[in-house]
Amino acid sequence: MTDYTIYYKKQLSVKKEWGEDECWDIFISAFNLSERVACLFSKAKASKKHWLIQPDYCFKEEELPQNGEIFKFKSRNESDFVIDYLQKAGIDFKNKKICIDITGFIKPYMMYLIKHLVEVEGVTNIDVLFSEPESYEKKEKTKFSSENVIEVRPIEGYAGSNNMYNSNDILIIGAGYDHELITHVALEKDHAKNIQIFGFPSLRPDMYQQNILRAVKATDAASIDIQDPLFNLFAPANDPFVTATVLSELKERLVRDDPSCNLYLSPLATKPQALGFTIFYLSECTREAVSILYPFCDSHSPKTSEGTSRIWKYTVEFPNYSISS
Amino acid sequence: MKTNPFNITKSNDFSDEQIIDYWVDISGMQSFYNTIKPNSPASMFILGGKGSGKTHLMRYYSFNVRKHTYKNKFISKISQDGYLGIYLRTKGIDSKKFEGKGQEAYAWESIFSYYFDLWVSITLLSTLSEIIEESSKDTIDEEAICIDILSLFDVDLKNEKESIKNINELTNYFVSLQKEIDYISNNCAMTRSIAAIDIKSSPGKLIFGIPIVFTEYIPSFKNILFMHLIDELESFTESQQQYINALVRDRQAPCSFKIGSRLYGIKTKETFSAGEENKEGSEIETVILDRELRENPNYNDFAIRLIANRLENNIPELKDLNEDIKEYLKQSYEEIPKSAHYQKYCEFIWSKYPDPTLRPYWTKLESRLNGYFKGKVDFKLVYKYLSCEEFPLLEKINIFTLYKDFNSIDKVARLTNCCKKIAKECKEYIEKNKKKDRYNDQVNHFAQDMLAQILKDSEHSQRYLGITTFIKMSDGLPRNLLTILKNIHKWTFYNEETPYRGKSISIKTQQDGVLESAEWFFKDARIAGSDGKLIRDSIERLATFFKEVRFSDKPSECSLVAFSVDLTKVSVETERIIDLAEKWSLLINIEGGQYDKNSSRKDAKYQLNPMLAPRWDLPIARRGAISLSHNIVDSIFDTSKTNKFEQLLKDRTKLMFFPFSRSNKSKRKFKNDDSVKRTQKISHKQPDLPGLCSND
Repeated sequence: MTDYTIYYKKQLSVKKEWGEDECWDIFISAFNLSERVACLFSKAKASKKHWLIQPDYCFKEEELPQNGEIFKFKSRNESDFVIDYLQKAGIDFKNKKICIDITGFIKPYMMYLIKHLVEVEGVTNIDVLFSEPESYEKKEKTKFSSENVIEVRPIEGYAGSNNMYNSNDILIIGAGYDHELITHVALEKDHAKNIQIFGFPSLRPDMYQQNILRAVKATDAASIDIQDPLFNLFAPANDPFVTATVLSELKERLVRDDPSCNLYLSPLATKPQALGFTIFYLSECTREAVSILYPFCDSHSPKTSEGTSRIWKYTVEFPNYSISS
Repeated sequence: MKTNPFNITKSNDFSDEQIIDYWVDISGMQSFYNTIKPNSPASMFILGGKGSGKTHLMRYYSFNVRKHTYKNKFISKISQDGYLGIYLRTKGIDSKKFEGKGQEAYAWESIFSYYFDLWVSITLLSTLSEIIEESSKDTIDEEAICIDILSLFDVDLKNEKESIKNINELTNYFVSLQKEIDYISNNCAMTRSIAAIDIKSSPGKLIFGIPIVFTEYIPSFKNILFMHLIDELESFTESQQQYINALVRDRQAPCSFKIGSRLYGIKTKETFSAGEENKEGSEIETVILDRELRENPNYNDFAIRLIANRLENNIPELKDLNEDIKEYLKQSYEEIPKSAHYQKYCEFIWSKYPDPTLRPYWTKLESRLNGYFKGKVDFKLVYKYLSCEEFPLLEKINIFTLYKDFNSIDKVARLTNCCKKIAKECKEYIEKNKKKDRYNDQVNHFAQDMLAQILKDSEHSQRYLGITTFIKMSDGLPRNLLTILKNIHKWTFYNEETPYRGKSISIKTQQDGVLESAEWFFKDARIAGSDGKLIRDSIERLATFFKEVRFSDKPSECSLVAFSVDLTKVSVETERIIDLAEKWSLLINIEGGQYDKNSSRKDAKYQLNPMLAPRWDLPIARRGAISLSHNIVDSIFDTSKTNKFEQLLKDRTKLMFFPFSRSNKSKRKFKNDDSVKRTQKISHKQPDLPGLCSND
C-alpha cells in the first residue's frame, strides 16, 4: 500500500490575492459557465493562460471567454483533443511550472491530459487546483450530464491488460450524483462485484445525504449492495490523496485475495476524487489488469453549481516515466 | 427468515457450482439440450432478451461447470459427452480499446483478430491443461503438443519450442503475447503507433489448429467436438462481429460455435468475404430463446420448478417439500377466491360504499344522464333496472350495455325501455340460461376491463396476484419472474410478513413487488445514446393509448395490450423505433400478424410486454388487438410527429366516451363525469365501431 497523503495540499483564498507560490508558467483551465471557473482563471498568475473548450458543453461562439488563449477542437475523443491541444500549444511542458484547474474539466479529458503530460512530455510536477461550490443548483437532483450514455469504455490510456479468468472481477465506483451513470457502468461489467467509494466528508454538509439518495437508485438496477459495509468505502470528496491511498489499500487487499482478478475503476464523483484515481493509476497500475472505465454521454451541463466556497491546490509529483515499447 | 431466495437474478452472479445447483431443464421434446445441440457441429446463434437464460444455458454446457459433475474422470466423461464446451465472455476483452487513436480501421481489425485468437486459445489451453493435470499425465506428451502448437504460428518460434515444456508454460507464453498487445494498444493513445504489435499467426489458425493437435495426442478426443461458447456478442463492434462471422463461416472440424447475444446485439451478418453473409439454415442456425420459451407448452411447468428449485436451495425447511409444489406455491400467495360473478373480487366495495347507490359508477351515470336529458330522468327507475347490488361486476356490465345502446336513445322513454331490456338480460344471465347472447358475450369479453374500472373508480390498486399471473408476466424471460418474486420477497421484510411459513404473502405485498418490478423492467432498457429516451417515450404513449381505451366508457376492444398496423405505410423512423423496442423486449412481435378486416392484407401485430402492464394498469393477457392507422402509429413512435398524438388519441377514442357522438361539436367532457351538456341531436344509427374483440 502506498500512502499518498504525504503529498502537499493547501487551501487558497477565495477573496484575497495569492502569493508567489501561486505563479506558474502555464495555467490550463477547461471553460464552463460556473463562476468559480472564471474566478480561478482571473486570480491565477501565469505567463500563459489557456482555455480548453470541450465540445461536450456545446458552447455557442458568443458564450466563449474573451480572456486567455482559447483552444477549441471538435474531437470528443479525449486523446485526440488533448494531442491536438498540445500540438497547437507547441510548448515544452517538461521544463515549465504547470497548473491545471480541474474544476471545469470533464473527467476523461482531465485524466488523459495528466497522463500524457507525465508519460509523454516527461512532466514530473503539476499543481492542480479545484474550487468547491457553495451548492449544486438542484441539490441531489442536479444533472451533470445528459445521462444519454453513448458508450462505456476505458478512458484512453487507462485500459489495462485483461486476465482471462474473470469470475472474481471487481468494479470500484467513485459514486457521484448521476445514478444513471453508475448503473450504466455497473451493467457494463455486470459480472463484477461492485465496491462503491462515497465522498465523505462531502464538499458541503448536505451533499453526502444527497449522494446516498442518488446512489440508492442505482443499487437495484445494477445489483449493487449498498448495505454491505465490505463493499462501501469512504474517501473525502475534496482530497485526491486520501482517495488514492484508499484505492491503493483496496487493490493490495483484492489482489492478495485473487491475483488473477481484473480491477475496473470508475470515477463518477468529484474531480478531486477523479484526480485521486489518476494518481493511483499512474503510480501503481501500469501493465496491470486495472482499467478505468467511464460512461461517455452525448453532452454535459455547462453550469451546475452556484458560488465558490473553497479553493484547493494539490501539488502532485510523479517519477520520471516514459512509455517503453 | 431474512434470506431472499430470489436475490440473485443474473447467472453472471452464480459460481460454477451454483450454475448446476440452480439448473432447471424444460421438459418435453424441446429440452435445453435439444435447443443448444452441443453434439451438433453446426454453428448456432442463441439470441434472446435480457434474462432469457442464454448465459445460464451456455455456462451449463461449458467444461468449467460440467467438470463438477465429472467426479475426476474428465477425459472419459468428456468422451462420453461427445463435446468439450469452452465458455468465453466477450465483455472480458474490453474490445473498444481496438479502435481509433489515429489508426486505420483495417489495422485494428488485424490486431483484434489475432488478439481474439489468442484469447480463445488461452481459454482452451487452460481448460486442456486442467484436463491433462487430472488425467494420467505420463501418457500425454505435453512437450510434443507444445511444439506442434507453436508450429501453428507463421513465424519460427525456435526459442519457445526449446524452452516451453508443458501446457502451463505454453499458456503463460500466450498470455504474455496477449498482454503485450494490451499494453501497446493502450499506449497507442499517446504514442499513436501500433507498429510494435507483431502479429504472429493468421486468423483462425490457432483456434482451429489447437483442437486438431490435441485430438492427435489424446485418442479419446478423436470424436470430440470443441464447442466454443462465445457469450455477449453485443459488446463487439460491427467489424469485430464480422470476424466472428468469418470464423463461423470458415469453421473447421472439430470446432463448433455457439454464440450468445441479446436480440439487439447483432450488428452485422457479414463476413470478410466480399461482404457475404452467413445463411440461416446453411452456415448457421438461430434460436431466439425467449420466443422458444414463450411458445413452449411446458413453460409454465418449467417456471414452477424454477421457483421450487430456488426455495429448496435457500430455505432448509423446504428442502424435502413433499406436497405438490404447484399447490404449495398457490397457497403461498394470497389471491381473491373465485366466486360467482366475481362477487368476492368486489367485496371491498361494500366497506368503501356501504350505501350501494353511492358506488362511483352510479354517481357518474346519474350525473351524465341528468345532464344529457336535462334533469328529466328518473334515476331511481334507471337504478332499479340496472342495479344488481350483490354483483358489482354485473352492474358495470349493465351500464356498459346501456352505453353500447346509447346512440339509439334520444328520449327518456327509450332510455327506460333500454334499461328494462338490459335488466331482463342480466336476470337471464344470472339464472344461467346459458344462452349465447350478447350479454353473455359482453361478460366473457369485458369482465376484466370492467373489474379494472371498478378498482380504478374506487381508487383501489389494480390487482396482479398469484404465481400464475407472475409466470404470465415473465412471458418467456425467466429473469422477469425471478425479479418479481425477489421484489415481493423484499416487501415481505418491509411489511413484516414471514413467507413460506404457513401464512401466505398478502395482496398488498404482491402489488408493491409487482409495481416495483414493472418500473424496473421499463427503466432497465438502457439503450445507448438518445434512442433510449425515444423508445421509452414511445412506449409511454402507446401504453397511454391502451389505458385510455381500457378505462373508457365503451372500450372498443377487450383486454387491450396489442395493436396492428400496415408497416408499409409508417415512416422510416417509426419502423426503426418499433424494431428497437422489439429488440429490447418492450414490444413483442406476434407471429402471424393480423389480417385487416377490410382487405386480405396481413398487418404486423405487436403486444406490450406483459411485465410493463402494471405500470399503466393494463391487463397481462392479450385478447384483442386494435387496428391502428399509420398516422396514429407514427404519432406514437416518430418523434417528428408526436405533436399530433394527443389530438389523434382524442379523435380515435371519442366514440368510446359518453355521449359517444360523432359530431365535431360534441366534446368529450365526461371523463371525470362532471355535468353534461347535450350539444347536438343524437344520431339514431348505431356507430360503426370496431366490434367486440377478436380472439386470436
